[in-house]
Amino acid sequence: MRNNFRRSVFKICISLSLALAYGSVANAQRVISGAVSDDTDQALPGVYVLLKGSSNGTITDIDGGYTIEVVNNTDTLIFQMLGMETQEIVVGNQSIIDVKMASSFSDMNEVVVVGYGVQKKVNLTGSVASVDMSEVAASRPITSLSSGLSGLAAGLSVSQGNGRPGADNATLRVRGQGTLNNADPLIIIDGAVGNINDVNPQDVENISVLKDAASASIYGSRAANGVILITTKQGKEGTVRINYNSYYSITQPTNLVKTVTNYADYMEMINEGYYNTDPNSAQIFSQSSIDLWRENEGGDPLKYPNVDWTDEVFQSNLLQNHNLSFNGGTDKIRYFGSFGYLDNPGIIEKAGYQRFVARLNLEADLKPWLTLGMRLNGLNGKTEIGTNILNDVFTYAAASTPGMVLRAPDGRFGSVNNPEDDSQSNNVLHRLNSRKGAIEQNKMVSRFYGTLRPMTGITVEGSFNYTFDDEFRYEQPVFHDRWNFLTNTIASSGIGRTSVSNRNGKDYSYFMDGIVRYDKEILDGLQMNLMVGASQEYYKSLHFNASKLDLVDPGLSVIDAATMDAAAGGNASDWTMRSFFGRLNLVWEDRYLFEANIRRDGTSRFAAGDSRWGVFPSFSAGWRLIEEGFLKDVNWLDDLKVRASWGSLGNNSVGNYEYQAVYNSSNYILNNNLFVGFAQTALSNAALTWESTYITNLGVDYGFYSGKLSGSLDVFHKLTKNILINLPAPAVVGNASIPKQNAAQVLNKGIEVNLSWRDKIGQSTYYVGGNFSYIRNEVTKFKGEDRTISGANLIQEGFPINVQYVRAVDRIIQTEADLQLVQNIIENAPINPETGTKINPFASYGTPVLGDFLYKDLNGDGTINDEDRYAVGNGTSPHIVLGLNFGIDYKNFDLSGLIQGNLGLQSFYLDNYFRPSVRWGYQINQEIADGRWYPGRTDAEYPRLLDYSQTRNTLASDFWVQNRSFVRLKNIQLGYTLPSVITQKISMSSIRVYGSLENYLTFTKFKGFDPEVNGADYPTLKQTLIGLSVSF
Amino acid sequence: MRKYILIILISITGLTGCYELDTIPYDKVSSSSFWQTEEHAHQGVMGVYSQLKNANVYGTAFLFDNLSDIAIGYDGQAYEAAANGNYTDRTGFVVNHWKSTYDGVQRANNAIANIKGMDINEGLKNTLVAESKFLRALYYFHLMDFFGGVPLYDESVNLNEDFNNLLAPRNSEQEVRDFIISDLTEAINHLPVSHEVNQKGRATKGAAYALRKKLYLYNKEWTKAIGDFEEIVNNGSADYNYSLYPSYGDLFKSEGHDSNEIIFAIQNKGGVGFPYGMPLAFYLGTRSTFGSCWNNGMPSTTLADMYENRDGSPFDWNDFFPGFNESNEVKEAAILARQAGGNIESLPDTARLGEIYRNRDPRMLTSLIVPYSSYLGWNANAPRRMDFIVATGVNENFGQIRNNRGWTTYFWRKFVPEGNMDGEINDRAHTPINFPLIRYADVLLMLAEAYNEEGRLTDAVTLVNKVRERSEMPGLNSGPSWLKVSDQEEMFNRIMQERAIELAGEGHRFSDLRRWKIASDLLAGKVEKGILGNNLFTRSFNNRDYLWPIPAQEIEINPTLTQNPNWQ
Repeated sequence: MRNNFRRSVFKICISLSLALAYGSVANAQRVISGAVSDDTDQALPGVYVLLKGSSNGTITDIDGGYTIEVVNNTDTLIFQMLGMETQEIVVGNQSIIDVKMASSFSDMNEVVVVGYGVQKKVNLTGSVASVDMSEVAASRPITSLSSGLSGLAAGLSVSQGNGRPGADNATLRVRGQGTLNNADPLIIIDGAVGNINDVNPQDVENISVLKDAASASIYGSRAANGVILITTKQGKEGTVRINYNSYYSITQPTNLVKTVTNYADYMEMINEGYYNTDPNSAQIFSQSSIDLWRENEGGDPLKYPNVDWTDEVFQSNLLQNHNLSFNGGTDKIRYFGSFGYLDNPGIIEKAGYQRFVARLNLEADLKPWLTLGMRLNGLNGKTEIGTNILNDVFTYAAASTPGMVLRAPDGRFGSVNNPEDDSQSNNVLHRLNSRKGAIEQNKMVSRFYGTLRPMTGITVEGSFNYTFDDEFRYEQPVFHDRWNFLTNTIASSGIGRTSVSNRNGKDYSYFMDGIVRYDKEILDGLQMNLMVGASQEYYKSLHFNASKLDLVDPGLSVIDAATMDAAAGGNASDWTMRSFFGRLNLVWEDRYLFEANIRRDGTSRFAAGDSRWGVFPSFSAGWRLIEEGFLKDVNWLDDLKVRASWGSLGNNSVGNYEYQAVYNSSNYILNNNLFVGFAQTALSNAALTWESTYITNLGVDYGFYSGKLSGSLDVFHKLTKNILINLPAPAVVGNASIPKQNAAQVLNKGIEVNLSWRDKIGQSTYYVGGNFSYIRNEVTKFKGEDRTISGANLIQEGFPINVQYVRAVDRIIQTEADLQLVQNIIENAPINPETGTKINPFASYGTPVLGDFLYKDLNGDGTINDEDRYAVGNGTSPHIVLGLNFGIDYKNFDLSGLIQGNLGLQSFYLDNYFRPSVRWGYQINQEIADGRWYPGRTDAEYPRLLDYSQTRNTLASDFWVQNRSFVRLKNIQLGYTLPSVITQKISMSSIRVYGSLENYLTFTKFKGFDPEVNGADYPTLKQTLIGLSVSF
Repeated sequence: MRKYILIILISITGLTGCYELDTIPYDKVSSSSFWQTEEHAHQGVMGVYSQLKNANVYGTAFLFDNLSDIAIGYDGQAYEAAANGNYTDRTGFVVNHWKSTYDGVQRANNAIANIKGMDINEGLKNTLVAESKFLRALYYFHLMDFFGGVPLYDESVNLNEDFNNLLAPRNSEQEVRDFIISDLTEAINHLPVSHEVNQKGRATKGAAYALRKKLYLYNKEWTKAIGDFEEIVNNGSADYNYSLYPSYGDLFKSEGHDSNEIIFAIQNKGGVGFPYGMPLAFYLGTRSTFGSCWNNGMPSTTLADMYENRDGSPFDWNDFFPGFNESNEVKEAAILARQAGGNIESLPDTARLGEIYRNRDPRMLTSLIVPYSSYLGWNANAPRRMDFIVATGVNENFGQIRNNRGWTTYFWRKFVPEGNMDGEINDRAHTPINFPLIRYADVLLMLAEAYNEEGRLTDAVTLVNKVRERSEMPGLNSGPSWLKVSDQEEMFNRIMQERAIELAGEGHRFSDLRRWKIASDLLAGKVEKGILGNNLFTRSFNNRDYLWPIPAQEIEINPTLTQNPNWQ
């Protein structure tokens, strides 16, 4: 959009200069010529050269040259170009004036995309972060747009859920988690609600993040979690440009958890764990097996394996991305087109992703009063079927032992070799190869729009948007034997019943809107902009699946090729919304700014009547102090604005039909026949309505030293009321799902700071930008004193959402002195008044022995139980989010980097990869194994090993709460642009080669797979990339 | 002009396509349109029945035996944590049994409340309400059995309005019992003796009598119990026509699961598109069973050794292998084989073992898979004979039965499908074998127990002998000294033994041990051992374990609920 603005300035200037060419003939006295260049002596074409005080002007040519006629020596020439500092030169008696222009970092004319329009950044009164994506996406291996946003905007927290190809989208949070429900921001792509990950990152021009109520309330009922506006590229008048960008990158996992790989050690530890649990129980592994494996360490790896599953499962792969785009236009028509191809094989086999995307953005000024345009975006994605069982990779790998060859060099899959081991133990590679098929996605996003200008000051805009998303899944089982390589026999045969199953899902969305704008200077210096509009939306999704058994030939792959036992299923769901909205904008003398928004939404998700319709107003004001006389003389200050806003937003994150009481089928059998039955498996709440969020925002925008230092500071107070929550109903209600109720209240308070510095040293320019946000989250209203505890997560008034609620570990009992402490607690136990005997203080979790945790008696009642838990941490999100980006250009080299940090997130982590437990057929964590307590040890870092069903040491306790803070070098890249002398020789306008490292360095104390990944999941990809970007 | 035409055209287009703001679900019935017709009433009651099958109500009742001395299990669904004492008031199955069983109660409440107000045939209305009350009684019985006195909620509850306010304190056990008995009395008054053939499986008058009698028996109200039992055994006011099915083994297969012995059973069906069974195969079958199953439940060695010799005398391994009971080496020598990769390297004296096992109560071989016997399983997509070889490294791919837990134990044959049941089973979690909750043999043994308590020893012996006779076991007091019963206490022990054998795998033992108040004697500290004498795990049973704890979450929400003794 910034380019749109540039374009219009450009247009105005051209027509200006042409018009003045006539007049200049009459007054010509003398001709001045010269060349304009930048501070690196590069010629600057397209600079506007104007004679001050007249309407005479011209534009520099391709070599930066110009000629202009002046009248006398006192005339002044003005040299102007966007992005450069304007210069004024008195002609004097010179006839040749060469000018060197310095680049200007001031972005006074920058425009920002806001809801239903654009606005000059200086006139903004709300809190909006704008990200110029065209540069970010060009050369970073961003496979999904959401994950590419991390660290780029203050107030936007991006957490990479996992690195699954095709599903590697990140969780976005604008100003923290404001609700207990879905807290995803609303995504608007080119004006309509969309999915951020369907956009080719390289097609994106600009992203705006609307953070406060003033800027977001125009989106009303769904804007409570912030709004992200995405604008795709549009053609530019004049030049025709073709860009080709391609990169290859080598992918690796970021971080992996180590499990015990030495099988002899592993067997001993399994025995140890079971012995610790019950000394009476039989040893699982005999000494002879352990000895046998020990003797053969380093021997035949097929017969006596010591397998590290991560070596076998994760592999380095080559990711590639190619993107070809073109854009251009005449004064009547503008176009942008692109075609992109991504091949991301990921780091786990059978789960790669390939994607083709194509886009055409077209806009034509058909009449002076009419512009029509369309934007078409098509996507074809193909995901290997293994993606569907990626969760299994992590559950299966944990339920496996180092004594199993996963896959022999000849391709055969293994089972456990040791007959004493659990022959049911899983082989993750066998699992991944147990099916074939693919998920094919075809998606079309289309937008048709028009703008009418029936009379001066009035524009009418309308659009119709249609999105169609089709996903077809085909899969069939593939049967492989599993071998015991020690005996060289088949341990489990791969014979099974062949089958084919298909699933087809379709999502449709329809969105249309109509807007009228009215621009007028109503008083001298008072500019008014009024906008009113209406929109309606309809979303429907449906799916159908069918399967059939027994293929006539296992090589066939369609349902008609199967003969027996067909089964089918299908369902559909829909919802709609209708909205009316308006905005009034007043600017007085570029100094005093005022804006008011209002929106009224009605949705099918709430019962007709009062609860269906919601009204969301907002107001904001700004004062540009810099325009005031008393600041005119402050040279070092070039921008200063204060702004304030207040507004309300909504959230309708409930199921589509949750207010309706419905009966679900619950069938029964009589006389061996099916009889239809119904039961109310979901209760209803007819009073369901919107969550309302109220945001108050105060902000300052500032710029110093000719724009070298600029930034903004925002303080906000975001209160969400009527949060739809699942209150803990008594279990005597049964299994019927409890409707959500508008009950809770959450407060987020925070500060956001943006600061950037741009300057140059000699020939090189550089910039450093940082953003920082701090958020405090608190549940201010829940159910009185009541609390909800789910595992280690607590929701209770006065605490952050899902703060970790855990027992406190005093110590691991390792010595006689420690044991004496236990004895003291028993001796000092309180007396039960009913029986007159001492209460057993350890009744709840068992009396600890050597190697166990001693929990603290936090409430001091002499017994240790659930009442001794306390709250740790800040809940589910980090409370400090940091981003730092920097770049430097030197001659033809450019270097840039991005650092991202999340601080203050603490969470309870204990799973099959990280626990002080043993289980027959399951892995053991290496670090815990090394640090475990065993008899004689007094410096153990972890408790003794126990059977997994023993929970005394695996209860939610602060021992297992880990700090997930991290600082990550997200990206660093180095580029080289070939000198223009060379590129021009081969008729290219620019050639750039670049290399970059993605997710390369992470500083964290977290012991799981990845501080950004919750639990065991597909790790984030670490990438080494080389790329080429050509334009001509 | 043209521009105005265009503006008008665009406005018209914009206004015409209006989306309706009222949408309704595509796959569900709205409550406003339900409870209108007789068919709805019937469908509503089917919804009450279907909750019986919930895994946390009666859907895995066959695993309750794992809590007693006659069976062992592993993992959550097999109540491992309860057997070894590692469960708490937050353990999944404790919470889920509470919640899911109350779900059955609320379904029944909802059906009763709505059907009562419907304008349908009065007879049908009464029957459907009576069925719902019978089912509500079953649900409350389960709650009372495991939790003691619980809060009572009846059909006056409207869940959509009251879901947050069900905060009543606990009723006493007596109040709950009275409530159940009043429901059953109404059920007895309105239920038919039998239903039309195509409705087979619905609750009957006989079922209601049997259940009411069971309540009296649990409460030691012997006279009342005898009254109800005699009504159905002696065909008092109607011809109930219950009888023992001739083949004990076939009773738990498709052949016998609909026979006259079944008084009330959960109706199961499998097959493609019919996921309406119970996970009998899944949790009792082994990797050799259709669908490759988990044997979460296994008969204990204690149970196996309880089966008498064919002549009714007590069995003792030492009679066959001197020192067997004392020495694990003797056990290994007698039973252990060696094999590698499916090739048998050495076998014990399997002919001898076969003789020993065949010379036992015939119910042993029909209920249990014993060493060196075979079972028709399923492997590599085909039926296959599976042998139970006691050796390390056995595998179903060699045609051998393998313990999924890695233990050396007996396996269940009772309830476990053979082959693929001629195509009837398609999913291990949905075994198409009806699961009896009340059957005639159980009724006879309960009546015998009541007679015995009332001092009617001879009547008690007659009934027990009826049950033994069906399995060709010699009757008590039929001659040999070892079958002699002379007093109430001896008879009680005989009934206890007979119930364990006859009802093994049907989930009654744990309730029996608790109502007889002998659970702690038999279970506390009991080391469960495998066939070869190796220790598997140690049982825990304290006084508190006579009842499960009220879920902690429930007390947090409703502080008026008091916790069961010794659980706090």
